[in-house]
Amino acid sequence: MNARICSPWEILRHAVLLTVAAIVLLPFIWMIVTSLKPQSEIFLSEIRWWPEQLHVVENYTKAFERAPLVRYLLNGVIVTVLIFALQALIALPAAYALAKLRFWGRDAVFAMVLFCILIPAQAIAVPVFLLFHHAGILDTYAALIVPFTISAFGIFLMRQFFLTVPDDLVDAARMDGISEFGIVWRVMLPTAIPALTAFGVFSIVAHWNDYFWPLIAVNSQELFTPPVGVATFRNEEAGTDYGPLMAAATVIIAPLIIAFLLAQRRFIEGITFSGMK
Amino acid sequence: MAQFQLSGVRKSFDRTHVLKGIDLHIAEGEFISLVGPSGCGKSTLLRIIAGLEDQSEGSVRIGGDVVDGVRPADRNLAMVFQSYALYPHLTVYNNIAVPLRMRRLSTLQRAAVLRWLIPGTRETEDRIRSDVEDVAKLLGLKDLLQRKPAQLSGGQRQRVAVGRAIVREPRAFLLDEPLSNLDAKLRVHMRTEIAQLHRRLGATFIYVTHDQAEAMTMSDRIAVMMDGNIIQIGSPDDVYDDPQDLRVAEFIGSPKINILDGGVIDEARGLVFGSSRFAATFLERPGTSVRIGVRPEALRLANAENAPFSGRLAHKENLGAEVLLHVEIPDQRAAVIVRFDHGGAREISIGDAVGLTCSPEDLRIFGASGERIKAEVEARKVAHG
Repeated sequence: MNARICSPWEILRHAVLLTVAAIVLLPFIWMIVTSLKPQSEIFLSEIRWWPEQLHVVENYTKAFERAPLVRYLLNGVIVTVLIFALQALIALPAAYALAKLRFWGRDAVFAMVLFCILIPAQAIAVPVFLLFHHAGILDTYAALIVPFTISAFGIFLMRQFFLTVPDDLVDAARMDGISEFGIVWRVMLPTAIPALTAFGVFSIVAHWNDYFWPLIAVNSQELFTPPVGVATFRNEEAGTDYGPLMAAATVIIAPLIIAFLLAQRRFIEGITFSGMK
Repeated sequence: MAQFQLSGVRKSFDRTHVLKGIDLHIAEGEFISLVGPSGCGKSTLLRIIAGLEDQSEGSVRIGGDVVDGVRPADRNLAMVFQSYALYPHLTVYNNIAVPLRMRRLSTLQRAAVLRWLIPGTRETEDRIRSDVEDVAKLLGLKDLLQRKPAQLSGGQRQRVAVGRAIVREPRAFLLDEPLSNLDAKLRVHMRTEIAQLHRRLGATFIYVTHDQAEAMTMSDRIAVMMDGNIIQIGSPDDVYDDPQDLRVAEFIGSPKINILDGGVIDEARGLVFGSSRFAATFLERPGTSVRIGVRPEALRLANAENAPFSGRLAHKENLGAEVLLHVEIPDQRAAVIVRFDHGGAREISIGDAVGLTCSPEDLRIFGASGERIKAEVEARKVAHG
């Protein structure tokens, strides 16, 4: 590498970026460090970046003993994976229709989709809760999954991507005898892998970390998703026992980080792959 | 193999009329080009024939059957697109195999894993393999079968697109500007390949292009389209030698036909231009002012003093095999282009006075609205022929 002279502007730029990164990362690092400390080292007047006495085994075993963490993680996987699968199942054909088919009222329908993006989940929580109460599906997996199966954002994102797919490709598929649904799954989906991966990251992160809706929708502990599980954990018994709490928090975040690292690799594949045409 | 009969085909998008009543018969095994400037409706017409677009009025018959409302796949036509439209996620082999799989395998037999459990899948796949390999051999794609489209050059992708079209032996081939994404040299080469492919397959080819050279070199017949109408249809020679409309004359031929303003038909039905007179008999009222068209190769050098057209040499293009002179004639909008064979007009240099003449039968006369005005000689020829 060549030795480069850094201009003051470049130094400033890096300083700003590093500061912002630190603000974002510090709580995260503090969580991990705390999960390694014994109770006696957590509440000190000085800032200690690395514990003198490692309490890893104690904290993490306590975390798994005091609450069914594995169960919560499993619930998290079931809920987020099913939500994403159903979202894709609905968003891809809808996005295809909005991007590539000509029908009366298409623009109005698309405007409504955009409008749906503006509705916050909190605003419709109570009506949905009442609806599920009457349907008798509160406190089930269905209650956790169904409200999110139609993602307006997903439809919007995939539609924008499908607009960039050449019409000729769709016409060629029609000439070859592929049905409209066949086009969605056999032609559009493979070309849309990068966009779908991006949407998957949004969807999975949002629903893995969702605290609001699972808190309302389920009561039974065996249906708790990771964030709800960790929260009750704290309330019930570990109010002051921060070591195991932070250990539990670290455990529920780990799958997301692993999933993100895997998706990142897929992203790069996706980008080289879309260098088609 | 099939013949096509289009009658009264119209197409409107909202209030824009893209096609204004197209009647066209295409014979079995014919190579016909639809040629015209962009926006003339030629691609829309091809898409209507393919079934990708529905016409607003009129009907399309293929091989005697009315196909209005029939799905593209059921018309059994193959199409090659300008962007090739290869499936980016499939290998060359699979790209060519798709139309065969869609036709020969049932939905279950195309399903991901279970397909091999269904009787007949393997036999059909084997037949598909041998068909794909035959086509690959024909087009010189044998070594590329396992590549993805992104790993191919433009010319190779073009061949794959053609391969995908011919593999299922369709009733006709529709080609929508298939060469316009290639560089000039490859385009000339592919022109020959497509023409040879047509001869070998003997199938009907309908070829859409905005490039008159492609249309001239490959077609049996050319249909020149302007503003949603076919304004002339005929063999390349007919369209070149006997344009029925000023727009056709200007569109076909490169360099473009020279158009001179200021011709007048005199009392004896001859043509007067400036102080010269061409003694032909034109079938038009005396006193009509006309525009004179004359092809660059029809002009000859003459004495500048008394030649019908005279001006100054503004520019000289030496193309090796031919030389083009740009002669500026007073009161004319564009310079007149004269074409000489290799080595011609060496003695003339820029700024020299140049006189030009041609024989009366090389003149193409057009009226004010661009319609062709025939000379009596030609009219008589037509009557006798």
